[in-house]
Amino acid sequence: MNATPKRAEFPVGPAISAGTSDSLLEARLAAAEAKLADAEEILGDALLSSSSWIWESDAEHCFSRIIGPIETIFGTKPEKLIGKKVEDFTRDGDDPSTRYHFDTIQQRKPYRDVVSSINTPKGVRYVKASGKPLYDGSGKFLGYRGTGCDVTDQIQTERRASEANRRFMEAIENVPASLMLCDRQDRIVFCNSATQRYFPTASHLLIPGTKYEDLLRAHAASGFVAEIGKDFEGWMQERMRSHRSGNTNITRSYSDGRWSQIIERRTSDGGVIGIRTDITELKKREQELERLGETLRMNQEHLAQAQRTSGTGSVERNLQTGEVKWSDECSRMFDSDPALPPPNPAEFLTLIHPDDRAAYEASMMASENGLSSEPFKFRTVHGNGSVHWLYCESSVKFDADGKPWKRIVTYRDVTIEHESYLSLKELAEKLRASQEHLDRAQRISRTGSDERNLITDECKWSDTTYEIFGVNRENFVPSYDNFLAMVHPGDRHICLAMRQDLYDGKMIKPYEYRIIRPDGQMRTIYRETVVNRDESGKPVSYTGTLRDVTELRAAEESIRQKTREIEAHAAELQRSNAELEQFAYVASHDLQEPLRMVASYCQLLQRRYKDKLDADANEFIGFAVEGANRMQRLINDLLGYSRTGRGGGNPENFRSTDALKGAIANLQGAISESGAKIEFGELPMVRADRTQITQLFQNLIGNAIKFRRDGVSPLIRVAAAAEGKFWHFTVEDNGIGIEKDYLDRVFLIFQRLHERNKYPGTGIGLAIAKKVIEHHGGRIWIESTPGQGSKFNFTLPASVKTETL
Amino acid sequence: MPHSRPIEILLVEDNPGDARLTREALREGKIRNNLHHMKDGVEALAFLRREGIHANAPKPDLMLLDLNLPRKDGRQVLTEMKADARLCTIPVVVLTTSEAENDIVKSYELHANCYITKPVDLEKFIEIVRAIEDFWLAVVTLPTHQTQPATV
Repeated sequence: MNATPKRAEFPVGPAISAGTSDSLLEARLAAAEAKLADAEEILGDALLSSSSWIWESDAEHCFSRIIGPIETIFGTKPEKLIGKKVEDFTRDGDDPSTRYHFDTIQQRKPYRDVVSSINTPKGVRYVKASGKPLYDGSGKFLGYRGTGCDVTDQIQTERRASEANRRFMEAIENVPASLMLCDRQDRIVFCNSATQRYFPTASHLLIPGTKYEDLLRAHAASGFVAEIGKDFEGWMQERMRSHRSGNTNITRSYSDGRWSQIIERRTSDGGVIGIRTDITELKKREQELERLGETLRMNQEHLAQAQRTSGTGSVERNLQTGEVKWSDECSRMFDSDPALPPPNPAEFLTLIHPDDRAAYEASMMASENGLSSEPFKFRTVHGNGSVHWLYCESSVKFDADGKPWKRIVTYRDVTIEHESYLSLKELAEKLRASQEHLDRAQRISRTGSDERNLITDECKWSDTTYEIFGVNRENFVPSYDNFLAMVHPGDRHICLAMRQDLYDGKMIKPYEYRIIRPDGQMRTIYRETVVNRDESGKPVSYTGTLRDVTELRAAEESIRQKTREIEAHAAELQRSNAELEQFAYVASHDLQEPLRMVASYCQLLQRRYKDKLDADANEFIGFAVEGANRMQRLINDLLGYSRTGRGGGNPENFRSTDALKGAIANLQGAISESGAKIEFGELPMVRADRTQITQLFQNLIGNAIKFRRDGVSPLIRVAAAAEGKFWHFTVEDNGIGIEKDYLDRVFLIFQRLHERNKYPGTGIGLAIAKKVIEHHGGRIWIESTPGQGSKFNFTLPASVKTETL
Repeated sequence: MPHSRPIEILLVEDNPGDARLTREALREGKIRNNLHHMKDGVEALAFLRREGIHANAPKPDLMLLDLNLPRKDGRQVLTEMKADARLCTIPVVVLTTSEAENDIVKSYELHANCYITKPVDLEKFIEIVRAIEDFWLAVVTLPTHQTQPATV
């Protein structure tokens, strides 16, 4: 630093007056100046190492002197600063400390360590200056003298530190986690505001100096912390132990449903730093994940079971990695071992029936390319050679990029369905045919059918039912109300009662009702109903058949009418028969008596007075007696005839041979007299009145003997042959025979073909024979050749237990 | 077998012609007899029971009974007789015009001793009456000691 002319103005050293000895003075001055220069140099060197300087300013606050490494520090020569004010270097004056400093120097006050920033060729520098005002002996303000120091590095370091600290604190404040620092006495040193969220019930204690244990106790006692249990002190102890160990890592749940994780560590200075993180969302996701996992597991189980039950298998193929997953059921379906890895596509193809491989490949190819394919059926052949039909459906899933990702193929064993389908088709055809037959049968028999669902009230009528009701399928809805409206008003109660019975679970018997058709015709319907019930017996539907029985009922009515008439006739006949019987009885008894009187007394006359009467009188009496006798025979025969078969006799099973033998015994006299020969074999069992059949044989054989040819011994053959439920008997003789014209007359009562003298008898025998046969429901007729013989034919019912000869 | 007393015959017959014929036929017979003729069933029973005017009637050795009678007919007479211990031993010959099987069977059921249809022919009638005479009054041994009233 060079001396300036104004240096003398600075009271650096004692002022030297010019009145002293020049040489001494000069020497002394030179020495002083040398010392001063030396001192100034030492000062300059000292200042250089401390980046400080010394300055002086005049009363106008312009720099008058500067000692120190100004150029080194600011890049400006000190001379350039002389005469300039500090304001000329300071930055805009916006610095409050700078403004304060200017105010201070205007008031000429001393100042100390005032930092201000100035612009220099080396950029902005921070300067710390101290200064005190200078006055002369008279108190005149001379200016300031002071020191300056470059504190740029220090300021900048401080500023950076301060900024870093601010940023750090800001960061801590902004993290969602709670940070809490406790000192070695376990008092809170610091906690960020997020901490309040973790201690909502004790936030008033979240201030530096609070003992952590006090905070924890207040926090836990509030009930906010879940899972403390009954032993509060035990929990506190355990928690404090963990806190002090600085080894805490726990998960805590709170009464508001939130969760936190607490981590505590010891600090190097013996304190504890605690970090609390809200893990509620994490926990929720964990639980959700657990639930999803459970659902997935269940779904998989259900799927497997469903596949087993339904005979459905599935295959999932990752189209990007080629990974294949088979369900167990699927393995079984293809006759593979579920424990083995699934076959690759080539192996798989061999499991498919050769005829179906192409179709299968085409379908799979389509899905490889992301195309959906129609479900289709193919056959698989098992190891034992059995062929199974599988129904196959496939779908393709795409990844986020829209590329085919997975193909899922489901298989269902439809062998049974396929087989049933074939038989079903056949059945359907048969059904259609039987439906046609039914329709035809219904039309022919005029029988319709209907079917009603009682749940939906839906009703189906067959074509014939529509025809019976005289309505068209197109414009008549067979609802129950519509049906009832057609029922004859007088018969509606029948239909309604049956419907009620149906709901009451009663049996529905067949019933009849009348309907009035739209064309006005009244028809009678016969109906049978079959009710279908569910397990509880509740009727769910019924099917019915209806028959138009109008004509049938009319015919039946006419038959009933006829039957009544016949019955009336029969009653009339019975009455007249009874009358005849009564008449016969009267004839036999009451008519015989007077007859007997006539005959007896005529004979008594003859007996007593024979000698007193002439020949004429005797002959007349003879005729009278003869007539009376004959009349008595007629009356007795008539009586016999009327009694024959009365009341149906007494039917029994017996062998007809026995009856024949009885007849022969009765006729023994006539047989031996005539020398008749009767031939017969074993005759069949019949069901008849034994007495009457004996009478029949007796009459026929008696007849044959009576009408024998002169000079020819009677030969009579009796035989029988089966004819359905009857036996056909023949009694053949070699007698005189009967003229064809008289064949029918022989069976009439009292018919005689010959004169009385030659063949005596009233002619009742064959009439009785005919009556016997007719009473047994048989027939009697004659074949005859006059002069050769006659053959009497008759039929009798076989015995109940049919027996052959 | 000769009898020391005449045989008592009760004839129950409504027809006087028949009664006369029977009487005539018996007259021609060999056996001495007293013929008592009753015209209906009521009278016949009264005779048998010795009621009213028949108080002194003898007990008949034989009874000839027609079936069709006024008031009480022959069947009823038979029924009552056979139910009566004093009368049931009297032989009864049903002598009737009826040939109805019904009548025959019924008569035997009622314990008639025999059943005879009156023939139209007089000779036959006489034969029958004689046959009855012979059989019942000569051949058969009757309980003769009961001719007197059993009540005495």
